[in-house]
Amino acid sequence: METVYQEPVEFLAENLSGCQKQVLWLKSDTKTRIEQLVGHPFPGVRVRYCEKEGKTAWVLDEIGKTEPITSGIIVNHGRVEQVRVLVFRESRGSEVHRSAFTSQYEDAALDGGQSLDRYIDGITGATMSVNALNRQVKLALLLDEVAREKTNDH
Amino acid sequence: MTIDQARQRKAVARWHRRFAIFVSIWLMLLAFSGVLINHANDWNLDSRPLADPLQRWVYGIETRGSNLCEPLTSEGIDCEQLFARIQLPVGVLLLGARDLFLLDDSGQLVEKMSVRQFGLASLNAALREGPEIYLRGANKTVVTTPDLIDGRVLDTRAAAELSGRNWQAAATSTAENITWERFLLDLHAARFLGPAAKFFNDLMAAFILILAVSGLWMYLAKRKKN
Repeated sequence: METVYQEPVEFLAENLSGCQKQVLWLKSDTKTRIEQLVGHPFPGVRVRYCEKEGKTAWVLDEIGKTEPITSGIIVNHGRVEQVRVLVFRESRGSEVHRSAFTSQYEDAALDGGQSLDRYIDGITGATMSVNALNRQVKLALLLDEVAREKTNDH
Repeated sequence: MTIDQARQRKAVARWHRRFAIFVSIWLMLLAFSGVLINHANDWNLDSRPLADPLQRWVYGIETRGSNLCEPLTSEGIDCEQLFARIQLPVGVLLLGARDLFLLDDSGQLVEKMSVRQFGLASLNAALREGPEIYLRGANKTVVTTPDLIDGRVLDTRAAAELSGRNWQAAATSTAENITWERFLLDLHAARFLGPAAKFFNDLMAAFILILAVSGLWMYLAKRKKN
């Protein structure tokens, strides 16, 4: 069962209208960092994102229990501006799409290691979905950091 | 009983035993498959797809996506959804109903792309014409840039003009239609033997008749002796 809360294309149009689509090539050390962060192999060496005025938008998939959860994450200079669950495919745990939950990520950043700089309250019965969202947000922050480094190098 | 009669009875008993062993194996198979067919609905055998090795061995059907998936197995991605591939100047694009997989020339996965990122709920077909790649969903067609980074929705007229081209489409999977019930029915009717199945069944019927007649003959002969 698939619930589409918002199409990824619409998410980008609504939250980062006119953004420029780009790809980020992952060097082996970056890929290693990503895999340490999410705790599983990361497919591929290229990630697409959308960038506008220093803000980056990421549409990422992460397995909750057995199915991928698709989320859209806007990062503004290393801090989360918005998180939205776009497509939910699991039979349980769909509560993570509620803004009461996703708003906890607003202004969150990586604490320098592999954790967020704040505690995110879980949802009873949706632990795996919450963990998947935590991984997605951390991954978006890490990718944003790498993308900004790339921009600064240029 | 004369010596000839005794020899005759012994010969009939010997052949009766041989036929019985041969026929009993077939009868057991018939009984076993018959019971399963009888309860196919109760045990979901009429909807459960046949196991991949049996599909390959018995029907010669390759499971959808299995050969396309091969280069991706190291990445641990479930690619049952794959239905075709398109050769690109930069590598190969594997087409799946939910995701696209871009591989480089050495078969390494470059990027996994959800078709939703192109505004499609699912991918039904794809077409490469020159540098452009067209992706067709249920109700819209998207044309992507050659690097697959961006895409735009085609208007209805432009999409209609492409309808006669050589699209790589997701075919209805035959493999998914072969259920355990179908396999059991083929086994029950010996259809695996092809045109010979009819004659095989005739032969088995003849053996059963021979068994019945020879059994009756032996019974009567024994009764007469006693």
